[in-house]
Amino acid sequence: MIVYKVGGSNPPPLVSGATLGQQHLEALLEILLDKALTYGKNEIVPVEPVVLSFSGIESATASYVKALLLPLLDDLTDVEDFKGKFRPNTFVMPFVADLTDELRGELWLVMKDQGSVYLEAQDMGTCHPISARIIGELDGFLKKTISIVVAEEQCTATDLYAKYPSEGISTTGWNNRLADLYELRVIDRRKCGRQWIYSPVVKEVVYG
Amino acid sequence: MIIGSPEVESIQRLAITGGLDRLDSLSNIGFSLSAALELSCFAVAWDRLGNDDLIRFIERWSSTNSLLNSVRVALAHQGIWSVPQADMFLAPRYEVFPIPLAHEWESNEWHEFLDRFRRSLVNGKFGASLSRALVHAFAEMADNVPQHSGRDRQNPACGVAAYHVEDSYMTFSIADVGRGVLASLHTKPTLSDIASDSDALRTAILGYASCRPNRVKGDGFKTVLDSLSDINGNLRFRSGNACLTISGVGDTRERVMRSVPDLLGFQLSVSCSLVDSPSTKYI
Repeated sequence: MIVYKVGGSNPPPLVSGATLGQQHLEALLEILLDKALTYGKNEIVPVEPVVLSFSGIESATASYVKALLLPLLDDLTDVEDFKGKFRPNTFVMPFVADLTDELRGELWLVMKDQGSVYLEAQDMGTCHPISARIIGELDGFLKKTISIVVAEEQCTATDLYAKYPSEGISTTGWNNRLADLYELRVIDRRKCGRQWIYSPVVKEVVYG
Repeated sequence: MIIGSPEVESIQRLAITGGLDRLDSLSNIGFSLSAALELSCFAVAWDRLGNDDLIRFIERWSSTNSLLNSVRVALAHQGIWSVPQADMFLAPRYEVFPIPLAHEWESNEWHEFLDRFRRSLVNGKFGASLSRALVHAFAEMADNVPQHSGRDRQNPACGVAAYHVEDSYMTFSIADVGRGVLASLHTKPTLSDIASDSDALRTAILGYASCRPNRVKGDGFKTVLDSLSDINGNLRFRSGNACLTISGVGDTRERVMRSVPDLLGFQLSVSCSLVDSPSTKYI
């Protein structure tokens, strides 16, 4: 787990603007790049939880939040100034932490506007967040699916089709939902043969 | 005598028509914050064209006007941090600051400047929450300079950020001598058909358009308008030959687009009053 203190040890209480967000993102990406380079060329860089701690920051603007947080939900090879540095499909599992109510409110608005969500680490654990709050709106189907993934600990779309026939969802339906949650970075997955095995990134998820 | 932004347009017209001698009678004049920034931008533009006629007036006026002098110095020393720094714990009535280059955006000097503005607002009776919102709006507008004024983030135009707070009144102003809003929007293919400075201002400020490749809407102008949603505000945005003013409260605000003498870059000012119409007082 990488814990990144946004703005360093003595951050400004108010953070605004895309320029500052981009600078804080670049500082984090340098750390991630250094970590990625410790792996051999043919090794798979494991997905790692990255916790962005906003300790000391009271409030932020939407421009700042978008510039810092949204690129972490995408393939890092697309981030400007870092194009070509990361390997294709380099993802991280981002969390935010130590949010004030005002900051959480702004983040919620940004995520709602983007149709996305972010995980706020609640119990940080020693090497991995144990519980998280979802910031942003998830539709009812996805909420239910994430609860199932958390309960199952690991599963495939085929498993869920077999285990939850009363839901009336096809294997493809489960597959789509699981893939959507992975795209939102709220569950993890690994390839096994022709199937994706999905697993939760925390042991407990709360909403709102 | 007080000179506000509309009077600066008159000075520009005099300069363009060769009538600057008519300004000889003006001495000891006071400048509103936005007027000082706009006039200084015009002087820079005029100087770049090899015409220093206006400089002698600005030098004369700034010898008796510390606000105008501060703007002049800040614009002249962009990025060198040569402007005398106020004590970080003060809450000055007004302050002028060169906008940091992109890599200086994390500097303590810039954040201390923003914090002095916040303290000044609190002292000016704006309350903790509104003061924070106004500082966010101010910083968002300043952020337009590194983001949009030059050909890329590493090469922004010269810009100045300034504030002035009186009891229950405040104004802030940002000005740069960069490529302007129209040229900035034209960097995005989907916005390349915008034909005029007035359409560019309308698209960026009222339509919240963003020239970032992967974004439809920007957040900066929305942050400004939201911050003022419940209070009397006067907003002035000027780029190229267009000027958009927005005044009033919330949804009933009046919007007026006018043609003005051409000026490179982007200049904006936001004034608001807790007690009365901000137009009753130029600060």
